[in-house]
Amino acid sequence: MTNRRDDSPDPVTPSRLHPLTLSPSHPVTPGRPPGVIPEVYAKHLEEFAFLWGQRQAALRSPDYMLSDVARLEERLAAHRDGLLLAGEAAIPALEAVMAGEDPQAVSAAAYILLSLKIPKAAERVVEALLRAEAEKLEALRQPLCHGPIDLIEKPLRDAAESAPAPAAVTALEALAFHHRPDPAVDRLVEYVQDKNPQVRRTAWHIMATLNSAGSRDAN
Amino acid sequence: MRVTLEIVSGPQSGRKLVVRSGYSAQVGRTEWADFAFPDDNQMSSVHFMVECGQQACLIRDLHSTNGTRVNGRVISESILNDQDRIDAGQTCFVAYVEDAVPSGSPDPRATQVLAPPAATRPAGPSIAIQPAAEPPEAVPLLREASPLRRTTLTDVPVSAGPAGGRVVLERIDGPCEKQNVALLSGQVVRVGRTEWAELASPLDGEMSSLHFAVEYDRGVCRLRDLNSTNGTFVNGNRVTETVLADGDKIRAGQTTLVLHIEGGGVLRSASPTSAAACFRAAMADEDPAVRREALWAAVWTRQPWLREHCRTLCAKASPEHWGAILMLAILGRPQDLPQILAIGRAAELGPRRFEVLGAYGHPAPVAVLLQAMAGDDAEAAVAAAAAFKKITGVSVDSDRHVPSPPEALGESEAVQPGPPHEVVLPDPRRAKAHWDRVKAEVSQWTRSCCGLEMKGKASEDTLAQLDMQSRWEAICREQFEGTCSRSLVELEAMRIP
Repeated sequence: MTNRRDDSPDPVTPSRLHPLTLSPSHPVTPGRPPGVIPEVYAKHLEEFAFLWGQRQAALRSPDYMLSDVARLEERLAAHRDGLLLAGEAAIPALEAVMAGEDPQAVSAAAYILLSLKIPKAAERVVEALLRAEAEKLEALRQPLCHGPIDLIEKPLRDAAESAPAPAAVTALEALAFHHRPDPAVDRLVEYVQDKNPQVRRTAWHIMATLNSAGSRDAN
Repeated sequence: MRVTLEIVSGPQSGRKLVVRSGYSAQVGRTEWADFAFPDDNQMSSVHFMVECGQQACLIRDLHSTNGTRVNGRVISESILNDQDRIDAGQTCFVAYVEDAVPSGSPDPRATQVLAPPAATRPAGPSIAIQPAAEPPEAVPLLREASPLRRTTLTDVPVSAGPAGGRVVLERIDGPCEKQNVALLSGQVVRVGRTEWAELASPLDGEMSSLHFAVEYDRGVCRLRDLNSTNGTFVNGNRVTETVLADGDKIRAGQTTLVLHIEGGGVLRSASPTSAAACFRAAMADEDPAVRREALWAAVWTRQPWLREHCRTLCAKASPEHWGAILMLAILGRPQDLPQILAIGRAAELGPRRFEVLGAYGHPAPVAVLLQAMAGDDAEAAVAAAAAFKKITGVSVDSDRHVPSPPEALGESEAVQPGPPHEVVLPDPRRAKAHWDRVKAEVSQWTRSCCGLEMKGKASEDTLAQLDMQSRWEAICREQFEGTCSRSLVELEAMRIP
């Protein structure tokens, strides 16, 4: 995040960045903390989303070493820290990005919303989870696993208990990843037989997560 | 009779251990021993045992890695005499034997030591060691009673507490009759031939006196081999230490046991039949991504049928079963070489067949890769070069480029970040020259990865030298073999604060 040397007004809606253009309906300027430049914010988010995708692909890639992944994560952390400086003012813009179609941008926005550690920001992610289908749901899986979920543990447990299977199994996965398995894991046997292949796939991943050695340590 | 072991050098120098007549004690690095030396990293987990009879004391090495020496001589078993010097790991003891049979008396072994150790051991507590009241300077290093407790199913209360359930170790096969031992959280049970073990199999001549131990703590069940002579096997794989899962079969000597974890855990709540049915359905799922995820789940839950399942599908050599074929390459054993080689030669599978050879890592198919690199098929040459690099760690790129080939198969295991618009053709002469240099050494190995021999559990240093794909595969292999202590979360989680 760049600090401005003067207090002159900033352009409100940068539009040159695709797909992470901050929505005109959610301008950053009103109420934004001094020194936040929307173009720079959008650039940080765009970079974060790109690196997020790189990191996910690198995890099992023959072209990357562990040290390369560590460098990617350092860069991700730097962009994240910049994005967090905007604080609460960025929630509408991040929510707008999360409502978009680009999976990496959705993941990035959801992760930053969770990382803000502001209840109403984190709640937006749960709301998105409950509305999401197919690709959007897939894009929300990783931020829920990697981002902090302390503020939304209760709604995640509620979702695991009573939401439709696609959202419930995604909530279960997040809880399992954070070593907070929910009693609803008993339903995994149902989920691995669900008619929706996305549910079946996620359920099998939870099986592996919960049954690996370290996870058992943590339980 | 009484023997005092005074520690004259090592991490606990100056302390004394006392074993009285009719008792025995084990000395080792871990809590499995009665006298533990956790700071002596050259001492085995259970290193040696001292048995103090009525007329003599016996010292017995418990198959320690670095051996037990008495007066400088490596022993497996020996009478302990007054002022004998014992070396184990970095620790040196001097034995003070009181009321020993005077020199010149009949060999005490003839009358006492040759009797089974159990004969000298009183009935009662499972670990029968007494801290001596004398000499006053002796500091008993004994744990307050032993955490080991002989338990049976009837000992265990129905309510198992917050740790979640109990563990039952069931002896299902072998020379001794069927028997169950149950553990609650915090308990340990040792399995062996002698009555020093909480679950003893005295008729099993191939079982060591103390063969392995199972510890159950806060929902985690761990097995440790106690330096047994013939090894401990979990689901057919030899292990030294592993986390056990529900339904694991343990073989020690001629005896087979099965572990039941009651309560907690995914699929543990399902009956074995329904769990198997879930996996069976997933293996036949119409969605390849579901099949692939279920295969990984089978690895991480260490399903004993997995390798055989992959062998069966590999024999069909169909792209439809690509996930299982690749999984066999990752988990395969040396005896799978003919099947893997057949895949590598099955041109109808396309260039991606070489990925199987790379994941398997056996040096024998390198000749197939060299041949492909020298061939006219650019796509095959590029795939063969990637496999060659995975096995040898050496890139053999030339300065020739061709347009990037389309996806050979839809069921990709790893999405390549930033796919290039063109690919670099390999230089087959460079590849052959490198192989000629290393062939003699690498051909002795059964699995090579990035130019490193993959044998047993990989060290952190070795893992750090592997690319992310090879690292993932190596860790999955360890997980399946039961030697991995990592979780899936640990592998996937971001390491930034």
